[in-house]
Amino acid sequence: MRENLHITLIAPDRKLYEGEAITVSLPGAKAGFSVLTGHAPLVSLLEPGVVEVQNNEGKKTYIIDSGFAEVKQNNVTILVDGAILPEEIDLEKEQSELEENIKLITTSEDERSAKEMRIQKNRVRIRFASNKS
Amino acid sequence: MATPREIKKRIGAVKNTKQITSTMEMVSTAKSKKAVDRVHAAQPYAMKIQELIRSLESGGVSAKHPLLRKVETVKKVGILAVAANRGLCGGFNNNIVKLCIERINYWKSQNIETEVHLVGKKLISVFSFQKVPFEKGYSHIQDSPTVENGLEFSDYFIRAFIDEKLDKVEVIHTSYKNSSAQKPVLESVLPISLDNQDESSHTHHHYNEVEQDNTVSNSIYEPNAEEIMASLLPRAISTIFLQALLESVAAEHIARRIAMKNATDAASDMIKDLTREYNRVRQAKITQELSEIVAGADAIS
Repeated sequence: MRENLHITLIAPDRKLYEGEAITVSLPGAKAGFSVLTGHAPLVSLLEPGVVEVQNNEGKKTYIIDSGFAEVKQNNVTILVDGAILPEEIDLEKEQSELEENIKLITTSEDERSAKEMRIQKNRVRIRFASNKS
Repeated sequence: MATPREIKKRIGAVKNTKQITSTMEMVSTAKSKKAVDRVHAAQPYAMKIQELIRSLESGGVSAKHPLLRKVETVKKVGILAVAANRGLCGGFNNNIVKLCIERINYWKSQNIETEVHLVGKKLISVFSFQKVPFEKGYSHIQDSPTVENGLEFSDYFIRAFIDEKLDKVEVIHTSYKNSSAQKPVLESVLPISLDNQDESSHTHHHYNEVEQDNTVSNSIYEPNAEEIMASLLPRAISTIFLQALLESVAAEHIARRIAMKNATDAASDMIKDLTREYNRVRQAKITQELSEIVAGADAIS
């Protein structure tokens, strides 16, 4: 058997995960995908979604905002704008933030896309939290 | 000559001051540790972003992004100076003021306009007092700058750069290299220069380049290399701002720790001197009283 994947998950202000894993599933910009050992070199944009790292001890889940993933020789580096653990989601806070962001959406092109990104982030978190409970 | 009571009062006052400064020293030590941890925690992300940009660049991704626009003549320069909200930290704030004013004068001598943004209450008050014009002041950044703080500045400056309101953006902040070396530095943020790297990441970069040569050309890009580049660039900028804010906070606490340590030491010396003075005065008084008594007794007999 080939060696394991080496996963690094980092946000601008902290390192969330670093270690070996068997597989990792990522929310790619076009579609979600999983990486196993021996994956072709790849750089992909990531959308807000769920990252699942499967290692020998079990499965770790992170809810990420948008970011990037780089796969290079069994090294997977995941750069995210922000990420939280499932148990950190505050459903009420996300819901009120979502409403706030929808209200604030402006007509200006750039600000609009930034706000939409935030809305998407809120939605992903809410969906994840409500599916679980 | 001061009376013993007056000296005693002064000793008490200095003791109180010493207690305050030594407490502040301890607080700053604790805070600086946390701030330094934050600086280190933010490094891997910044390094990886730079690395990705460079590997895309060397992979021949065309530079069509508006952030990579060629600047022919610089008409206006944006300067962001970062210092502290609070004082009592030695020359920390003053060094930034000095460097910032030097820079403003430098551009003025080249007949180039500047737009100055200041972070930190102390900077704002110095600039207002000296009547140096500045565009905007920020005093909301606390002990732990967040990713949003970095984004706030990068969003503004990126917009100004793309709209050609600014042709160059510089950040002045106190760098944190290790606990014994902090100095004010000037960093050029925009236009992006891809070969302008500090040494620590340089060796790292070379190591990766060897590896890259055989992999980068046949990497798969999802959705495509240009789009990845377009979203990497703004993030690279915001990490520079975040890093500057984080380093400045770490350096501020270290500067305050040192300043407070010096103050505490000076207070200890002062207490020692004052105690000696007090004893001398007290002894002199006793001696005087004794000789008065003896003289009085002599006069009677």
